[in-house]
Formats: sequence, structure tokens, C-alpha cells
Amino acid sequence: MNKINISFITDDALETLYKNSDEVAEYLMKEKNNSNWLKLIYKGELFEEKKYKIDNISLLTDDNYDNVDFQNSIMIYETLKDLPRYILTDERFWCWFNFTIGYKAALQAMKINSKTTFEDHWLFKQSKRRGIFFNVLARCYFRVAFTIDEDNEDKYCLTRFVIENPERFRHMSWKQYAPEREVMLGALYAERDLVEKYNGICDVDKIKYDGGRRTIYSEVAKKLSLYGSVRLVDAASREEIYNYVYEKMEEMIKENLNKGQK
Amino acid sequence: MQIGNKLFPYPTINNNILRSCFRDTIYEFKYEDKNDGQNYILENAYVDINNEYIKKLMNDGYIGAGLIIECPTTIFRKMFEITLEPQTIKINIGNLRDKVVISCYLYAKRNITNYKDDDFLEDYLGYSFEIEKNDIIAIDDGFTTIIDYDESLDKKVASIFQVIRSNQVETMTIEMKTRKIVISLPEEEFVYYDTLRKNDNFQNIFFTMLAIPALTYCLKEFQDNILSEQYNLDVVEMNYTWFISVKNAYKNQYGIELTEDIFKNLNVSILAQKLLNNGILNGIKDLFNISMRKQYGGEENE
Repeated sequence: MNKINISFITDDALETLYKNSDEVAEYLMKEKNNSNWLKLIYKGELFEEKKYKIDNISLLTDDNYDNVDFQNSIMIYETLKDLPRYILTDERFWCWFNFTIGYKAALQAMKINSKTTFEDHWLFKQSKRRGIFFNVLARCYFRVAFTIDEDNEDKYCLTRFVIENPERFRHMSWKQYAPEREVMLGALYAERDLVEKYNGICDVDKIKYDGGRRTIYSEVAKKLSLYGSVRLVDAASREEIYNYVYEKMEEMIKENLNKGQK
Repeated sequence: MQIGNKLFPYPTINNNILRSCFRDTIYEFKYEDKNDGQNYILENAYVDINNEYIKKLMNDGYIGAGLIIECPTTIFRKMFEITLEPQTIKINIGNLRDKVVISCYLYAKRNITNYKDDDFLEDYLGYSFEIEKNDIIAIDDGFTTIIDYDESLDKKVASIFQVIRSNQVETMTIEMKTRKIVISLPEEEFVYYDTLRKNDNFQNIFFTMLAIPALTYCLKEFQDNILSEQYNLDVVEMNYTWFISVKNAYKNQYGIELTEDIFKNLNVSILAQKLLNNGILNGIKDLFNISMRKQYGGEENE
């Protein structure tokens, strides 16, 4: 496969996108095939080439993006995984990626309705960390990076599980412990096993609290934070995290089942 | 990771003695940190503690020490096991950017029954506690450092500048921002600059006209403030992350760290020229060559 150099959007161009986000959103709504119109928004140098090279991939497109979300996420991850982390968490890199290689897929993955959709899901408007997990294609990369289990024969089994319902991962991804591999994998395996165990008995994904504002997964993320309040969560093994989450989450499921029976 | 003043249901040792539940126990994570451009290095990292009971629990495998390196910007977090003996820890610098928090905790590696010590504060003295696996025993919230990184040093010092178009200025203006030195030019001059800047022949000339005066101005500002004890070099580094590039370039060029003492006494105008490819002298040479080519024909006609 051909290799290409990665780029960053230039600081000035990025600043211009922020300052003209309403105009950018309008272009994104009507120009579905390429981002040549960007030159009309910013007349200077749009992108700055970096020394790192990646495969020149073509992401899959489908009017129903769910059909290609998993394959594209894997493709993005496998293509970018050797880049330094500081690049993979840089807004300027994802701007380049979304406006070039990822353009058509990004537009299919998330419909642009307003400048807010553009600012939240193409730029890192809401802080860096949120930006990474909100960004339309950056989050695809990190969903794989944080869930891949190289020791499992089906190394993407948890990736599939979180893409099927991103809520299973979203709240944990915002927590400080998220990058701790054993914590994330232990918790997700527990979630997955319980979803499977109670399949046909109750829909675990639909268990809600606080009038529907909170899900069982947001509660799991909180319980894990609680676990780490006096313990060094980083020192916990995958098995310990698995057992803890499994126990707490199953309690919640049973509680919910009992409530339904009353 | 930072514990701060969080309370625990059992007595903990804290590096900050005001928060410690032990009377005379001193606990500290010792290290020497370095950045060799490829790795962030903690040399001679070890736990220093003067409590024999805790030391015995460590030697018997009941207590371990977890050194946590965390970078919110790159969502990186990794724990390293350290001990009472010095060891070296290296992290590929590509994983780190901007603020990095380094902290160190003693934690239970297995359940400890009957945890008690004569050095407990009076409120706890005489009581024993059940400590569970992974419970935190001692806290050193450590320190925060700033990591900046670029693979190309020459380009790096140049990249601390941002030249922008502004219809608010009538002369070149210089502004010190956290990540960059911003140089504003009026509309017309910006267009000329923008047209020529991609041509490598003009790089030193632009260094001379824009970057060297801007860097000199900023370094002089820092130097004056340090000399008048308004702030120190650490404050400069924390508030202006581009200054780390200056420090790295200095070390690369002179082979020694740019310390506060050195900085106080150096000639900032010379330093700015040296760090920017000796831009003034090279700029004069480039200008001469361009002029000669124009006069007698040269590469342009080849």
C-alpha cells in the first residue's frame, strides 16, 4: 500500500475554522465528497506535513454507517497505531485526518446539523480529553486502542462490544483510570459477560437510573472510581477488577429485576 | 494521580507531614529526572522511608511501591514498581506532552492483618487495622513537570513562533503566549511575508527580521524579571512552555543545562542568534547570494 506523510492543520487555519464554524458547518452539510472548499475559508497553508508516514487507506462508506463502523475503526487503529501518542491526541492531527482521508466517512458517521456538531465532533471545543472521545474519527481510534486485547484469540471482541453500544465504554473513557489497560479490560469483560448472561432475561443496556439520565454503565464507572478512592487501582489485576465490577454490576441487574417483579 | 487531602479509614503516611497520620515517619520518593530527547528518564528512583515496620513489610512482600506517571494531554498513565533500591525508569517521550504528573504510593500487595505501629498519631495509637490488598499505605503526590517534544531541534526553535495577520497593528508586535511567541504583522506586510516564507533562501532573513528580535525581547523580559526577583526560571518554564524548547536547544548547542545562574548572566541577544541558526550573519550571507544571483544570473537560470 502507498505510504503518505501525516500532516497537522496549521495553527492559523485551525483558528480560522473556530472563528468561522457556522460557515464551515454549512459547507460540511452540502459538500459530501471532498474538502476542497476549505481553501475558500482559509487562503494560507492549510496543512503542515510531518515526518511520520502511514498507509494511504480508503475508509469504507455506507449510508447506514453502522454497517462499516467496526471495520473502519479497526482500519483507523491499525493504520495509526505506531504514531506517537502525542500526535494521536492532537486536535491538529485529527483535523487533517477528518478533512482528508476520513472526510466522506466522517460525514456519514455523524450528520452535521449545526456549527455545534462541527465544533464538538470535528474540533476539540469541549476540552482536550472530551475532544478526543467526541471527535468523530479520533474516538474510533481510541475505542479500539483502549479495548484491544492482544492475548485473546479474538482480539477485537471488546471493541465489537463497545461499538455495538458505545455507552458501555463512554463513561469509563472519561475517567482518570481509563488508560490503565488491566482496569479497562477487566471492567469491559465483566460488562460483556453479564450482558451475555442476562441475554433473554433482561436488557442490561436499558437499565436506567435517575429518571433515565444515568445508565447502568455510568454507575459502573462511578463504582470503579469508588474502588480507587482508597486503593491504588493501577496495582489491581485484571481479575480483581473483573470480579469487583462483575459483583457490583450483577447486584444492580438483580435489583432491577426484583424491582420489575414487584 | 493526586490524593491531596483525601481522608482514609486507617492511618496513612504522607510526604506532606501536615497530612500524615504518623509522627516521625518520613516518606519520600527520590529521583533525578532527565530528558534526553528520546526518553523521559527518572534516574535513581527509589523510596526513602525511615520506618522499620514499613520497611520490613516491604521486604517481606506485603507492601509495594507504585510510581505513577500520568499525562492528561496524551491520556497516558502507567505504573512502575519501584523499591528501596535505586533504579532507572524510562518512558518514550512520544507518549508525553505538556503537563506530566509523577507520584508515588506505597500500597498493600496482600491483605495485612493487625496493621499497627508505635509511630501512629495519638488518635490511632494502640489500635490495629485490617488493610486490604491494593489499599494505599503512604502518599507522595510528587511533582508536575512539563514535557515538550519535537523530533527536529532546528525546526523546533523556529516553531515556537506564530506569525499572524492583524489589521489591528501598524508595526510588528510581539506577544508572549503560553505555547508560542506571537508576532503580528499588518495585512500588507503579512501577505509579503506569507508569499516568501516557504522559500528556504529567505529563512535566515526572516529569522533576522522577525524571530531573533522577538526571542531577544522575550528572553530580556524574563532575564529582567529574574534579576529583580519577580519570578524564577521554573516559573518561566511552567508559564511559557515554548521556553522548554529554548532550554533543550541550549543544551544541545552548549552541552550543558541552561540554569538560572547561567541565564541571569548571559547576553540574550547573542543567545537568540545562536539558537536561531546564527540567523543574522547567515541572513546577511543569504541576502548577498540572492543579490549576486540576481545581478549575474545563477540558479534561477539553470
